[in-house]
Amino acid sequence: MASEPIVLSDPRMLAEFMRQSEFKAFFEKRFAVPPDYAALLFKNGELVDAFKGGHFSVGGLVDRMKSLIGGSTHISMMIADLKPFQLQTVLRATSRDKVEVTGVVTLEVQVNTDKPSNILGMMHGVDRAPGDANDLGRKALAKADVLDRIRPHFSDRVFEAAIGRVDAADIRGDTGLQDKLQADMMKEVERVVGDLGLIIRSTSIEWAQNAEEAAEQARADAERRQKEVEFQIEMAKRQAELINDATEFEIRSRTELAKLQNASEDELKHMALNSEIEFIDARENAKRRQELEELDHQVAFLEKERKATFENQLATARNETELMRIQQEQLKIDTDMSALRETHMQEMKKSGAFSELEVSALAQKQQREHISELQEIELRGERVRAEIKRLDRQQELDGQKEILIHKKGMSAEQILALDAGLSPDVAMVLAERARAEASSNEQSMALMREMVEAAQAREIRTEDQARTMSDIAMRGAVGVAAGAGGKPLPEAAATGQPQAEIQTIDCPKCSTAAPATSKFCMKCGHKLRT
Amino acid sequence: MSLQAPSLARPQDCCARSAQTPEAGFCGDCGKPLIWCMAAQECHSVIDRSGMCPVCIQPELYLDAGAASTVREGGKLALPLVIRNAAGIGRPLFVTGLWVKEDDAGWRELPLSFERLDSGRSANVAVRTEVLDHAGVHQVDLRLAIASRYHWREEAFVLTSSIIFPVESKDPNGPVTNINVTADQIGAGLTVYNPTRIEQERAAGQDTHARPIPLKLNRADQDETRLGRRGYDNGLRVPRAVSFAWRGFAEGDCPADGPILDPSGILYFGRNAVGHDQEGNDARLLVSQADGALSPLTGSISRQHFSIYPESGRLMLRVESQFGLRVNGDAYGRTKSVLLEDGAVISPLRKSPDALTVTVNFEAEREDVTRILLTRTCRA
Repeated sequence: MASEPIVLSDPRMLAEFMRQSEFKAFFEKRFAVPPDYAALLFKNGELVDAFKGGHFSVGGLVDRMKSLIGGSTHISMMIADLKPFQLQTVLRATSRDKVEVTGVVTLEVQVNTDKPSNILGMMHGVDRAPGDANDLGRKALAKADVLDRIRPHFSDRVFEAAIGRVDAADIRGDTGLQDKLQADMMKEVERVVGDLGLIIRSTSIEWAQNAEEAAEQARADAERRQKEVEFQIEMAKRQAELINDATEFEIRSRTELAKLQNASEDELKHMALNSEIEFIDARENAKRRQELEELDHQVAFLEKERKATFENQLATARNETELMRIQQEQLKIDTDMSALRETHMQEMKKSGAFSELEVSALAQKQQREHISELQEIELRGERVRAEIKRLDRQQELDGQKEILIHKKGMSAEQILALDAGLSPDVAMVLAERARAEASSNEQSMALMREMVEAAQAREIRTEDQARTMSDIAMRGAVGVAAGAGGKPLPEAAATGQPQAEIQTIDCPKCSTAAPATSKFCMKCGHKLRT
Repeated sequence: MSLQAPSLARPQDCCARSAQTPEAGFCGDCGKPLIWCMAAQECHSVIDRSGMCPVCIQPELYLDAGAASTVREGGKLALPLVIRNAAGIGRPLFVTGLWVKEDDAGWRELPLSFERLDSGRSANVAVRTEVLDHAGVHQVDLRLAIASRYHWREEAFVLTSSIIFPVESKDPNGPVTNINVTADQIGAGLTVYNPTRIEQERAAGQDTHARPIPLKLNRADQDETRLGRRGYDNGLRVPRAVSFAWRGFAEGDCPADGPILDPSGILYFGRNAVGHDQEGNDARLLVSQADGALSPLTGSISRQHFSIYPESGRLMLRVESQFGLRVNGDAYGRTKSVLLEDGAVISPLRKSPDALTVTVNFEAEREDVTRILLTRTCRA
């Protein structure tokens, strides 16, 4: 027997109770709920179970007889669409700069496939009394009903709150704002209908064009049009110039200039016919002249650019050597530029587009400029050189001053170390050790001399290095023996003083100082303790 | 993805402590050499005994949230995986291969659309099983080939993980659970055939995973050899801590016998003297004549001629000289990398290969090379 599919009565519906009349039949009927639908079975108003799809067999005389014996029970069934569906609504808000902003909100919602029975919360309960007009229970839930429930929670709490903080022109393309709105909307939907059998899958907003954007677009259009007009004018001007240039003629004549100037058009025509004057087409020359003038401009530009680079290099020169190098480079470039100019002049002469007088005047002008530039560069170099010398001298004086300041209030031992080229910190450490170990001033100075020599030989530069060196020198083999046994130093044990510094031992293989607790030398890996 | 998988590499605590001491070459407690990661300039870390850097190599593998954990017989199971580089200091990780194996079937390689994973980045890979035609517990093994790269060098590793999941029986001949209810309102009994229950199954705990599940990654050393990612074809491996022994070099022209302690992990050979400055070599190569005088051929040796370094369990040579060199008679040009096997003969002079040679010999304990003998022979 074929099964009849049970589906929702309208695609706009989300959930619906089945009509009892559909189940009533004398013979057995079979129904199938598709797997993308949830079928909720109720017995006496109580939810028995929920199924994802199902196959039902209903009716028949035998079952009716059985029900007469078994007693009467009320059975009903609700089906709900489990597929995600889309809801769209328009929301309006005012931006920070008081422009109305409109957005189309799209929501992807779905009946919670894990808890489809919760959708009853949206339907105001189960229909217990079919046919009773006073019963408020609903038999169906439309998708639009879901939107009606959610929409009021969006307008002020989500949309106005976010849009009011940004300007209308900044809204489009602001992914941060989109993310915030989406998150807030999903949170609201979850809060409102989350436990009513609906889950929100995603949301998004599409912005309508606002007044600010429309104005911006109009402005951009106007600017584009203006630019287009300007470009056309420029093109027209160039065209006119070209025509002007290209229609330049040269008149060659043996007649007096005054006579030619005073001649009328007819007289000129007559002279031309009699070969007293001849017109020479100067178009080629004019074009060539234009090209060479452009080349001349490029050469001048290149020279200016190079000059700017050179000035920059001069300004950042740190010492005499660097200055010399920069000047040598400059000289080379100058020579190249002169050669380039010379070639260009030759070209100009050769082209015949310029008169001899024009070329020589140009050459003189360039030479003047070049000489003045060279003089300026030389002067600048001198100034920089003088400045470098002054700074060097200043540094030297500062160094001497610092040493003098350090020497003030220093002991004879420290001054000895300082004069030997050691740093004030190292001098202080060594002087402390010398005074501590010696019993008289003479002994102290003698010890200090030894230590200064040693420090110079080992290139001791920092306070730590100086301390390590003097430790090694003072303790010597005693340190090795004490460290090897892991015992405290005799003097420390006798006085009961805590050891302030880490005890070290020397590696017998490579002489590197290692902490007394080390089992192996960290420099060569030699075993230090058994 | 807040669950942090434990780091794969673990240098010993004492070694990590000793590495804090400037210029330390050996651990002060256990005496083992401190071997630095090839990218130590960036990660400042020593590697562990297996050659892995705990800072650079931090891959994490997850089964993504929402993945189904059960499947019925005859179905396929989709395993959405997330591979993440959890290295914290901006070191990229390169995923060079991913294989999947179901039960006793063979490995199946999955094409990857990405290779480089920057620090903190993750990539998703969808793995789908074949049709699962037997009910019971099934296992899917995953094999991940990764690499850490620094300039021209690369350390490659292979890691494995597995996912175990149950396959439920379809059982077409079994009893059908029907629900029979009667109701005179609708005039008949209502029978529901074998439906998929929703809420009862969920209540029984068969939920999907709300959070990504971290999968434990284990080092697969055998697979590394089998896939040619680490070590030699014959199974030999050169660890980074291998000791070098120098033979035939003049005193002062080579370092002391022992492992490479320089953080770069590279030994440079060339005409320049041995020294610690930038241009200095670890071993000096000069061609001397029978009377002890320098041969004119020395001029054909570059200041830095070549370098050798252990990489991915192999000994590699990189040509630094513009003149090139020969290895086992084959000529190689500048910047070429060559694999050095046991018995390899390096001829620094390409045009006079016999004038000066450096022979490489391995001494191994089982599969680990413990010492490499570098023997210089001069026949000018």
